[in-house]
Amino acid sequence: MIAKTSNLSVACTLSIALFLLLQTGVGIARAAVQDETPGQTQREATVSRQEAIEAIKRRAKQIIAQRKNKRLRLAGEVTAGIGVQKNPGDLPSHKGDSFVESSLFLNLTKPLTPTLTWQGSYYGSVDNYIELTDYSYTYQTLTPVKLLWKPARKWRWDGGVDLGYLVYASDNAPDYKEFKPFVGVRQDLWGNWFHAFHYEYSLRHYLSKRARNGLGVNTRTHREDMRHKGRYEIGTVWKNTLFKGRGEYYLNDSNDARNDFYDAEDWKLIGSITRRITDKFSVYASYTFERKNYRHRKVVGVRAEARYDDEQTYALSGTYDFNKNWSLTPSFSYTRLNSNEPTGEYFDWTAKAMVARKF
Amino acid sequence: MSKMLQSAPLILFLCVLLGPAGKAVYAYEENSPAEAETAEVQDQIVKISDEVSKLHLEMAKLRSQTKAEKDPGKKGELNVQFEDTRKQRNSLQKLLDELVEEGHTTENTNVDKVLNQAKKFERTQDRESMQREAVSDRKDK
Repeated sequence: MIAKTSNLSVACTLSIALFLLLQTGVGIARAAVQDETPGQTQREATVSRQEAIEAIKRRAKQIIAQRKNKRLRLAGEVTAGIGVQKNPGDLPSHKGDSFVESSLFLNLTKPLTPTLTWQGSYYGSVDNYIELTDYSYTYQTLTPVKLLWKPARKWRWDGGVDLGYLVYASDNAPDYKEFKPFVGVRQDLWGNWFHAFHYEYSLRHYLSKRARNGLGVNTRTHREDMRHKGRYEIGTVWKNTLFKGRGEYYLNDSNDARNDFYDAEDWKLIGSITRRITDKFSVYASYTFERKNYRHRKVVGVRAEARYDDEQTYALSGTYDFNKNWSLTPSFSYTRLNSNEPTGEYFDWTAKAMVARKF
Repeated sequence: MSKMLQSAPLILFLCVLLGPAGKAVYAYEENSPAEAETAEVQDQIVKISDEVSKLHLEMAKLRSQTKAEKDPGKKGELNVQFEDTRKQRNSLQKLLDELVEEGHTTENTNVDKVLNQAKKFERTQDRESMQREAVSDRKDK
């Protein structure tokens, strides 16, 4: 545990140092650019038409040159907040707890050509439960490469790799690292309609958990889960409201052979509405239905059949922007899992409020 | 204690980010937010479009004046003026095309804003879903 915490601390501290270094460097570069671009255009526009045209041309050339300068941009968000969860363990006992959550998102962008942009990002979150400390965890995703390609006005392609890392504070059995290459394409249709397809492959390597053989005995091999994920979504923006429908398919295959516990197919349907009510206030509401069909895992009983789970989630969230940097996001979600294995059924809800600082 | 240690980097980061040191580091951002920059590009596009239209009208006017002019000397002057105006219009039109092209590579529309907002909500949901999966995994012993 100490080693784990120490590694985490070193990684976070290095990220902070790198971040501050880049911020300072980018700041100096931007200040230099700003010095060269005073608001001459406005002043000269009142002199004469010819001069105004020349001023406009100069400024336009400066803007184009700046854009072509291919500078590195940094953006991100830090959030912190508190929440209450009814059933962190997803158990029939429904023992609840409150938690403290904080997260950090960093995103670096650098245009490589007029149509190709590189992005690198980091997302890390820490959830600490007050009493049920077993459920406290840290999740980090590093995206060293994400390429965004816009070959034409209506097409956007993206592809890259996510590296995920999940660590539980007091139990290292479920800890894993994850390798996730992905590719996606979005096409703008008529009006504000768009649709998109996304494919992701993931290989999850458990750090200490062993794969079991058919008898349930641990083998010498670490457990590894492989997953194919496909997603199709279609949506439109109408009067500052985004309506989106999404379908997802997951195919999970694990090297754990104990009843093939983790081999399953998932279908997920999500409908969501995101509305900007005012310039400062947005709301998000969604409904998710997920069917998980286990391929071989049996329910308990004499006439045992393969298990399936139906999970429904309702989510409601709002964001109030105090200004362009600070915002408050309260949210509520309710999840219910029904199954043909009654011992696996549960419900859960989470309410939380997060304060975010964008930069 | 271990929990506190685990949160320490983020807490430290929050202090730096939100405190006076953070404000100093981000001060430059106040002066050059990306949105204001993009708004200026839009402003330039409008200005140049106006000028291109005006120059186009001037060209039409000069063309008709040249046709009506009988004096070869004045006709020659008008032709030179027409050529200058045409060159001016073409150079502005080229800049306009470049700016418009740059504008398309920038996310600035209301559509993009609401899409970005939705992405943030979805990121939270995806993480919660991942957590639920891990919890389910722990139960399967």
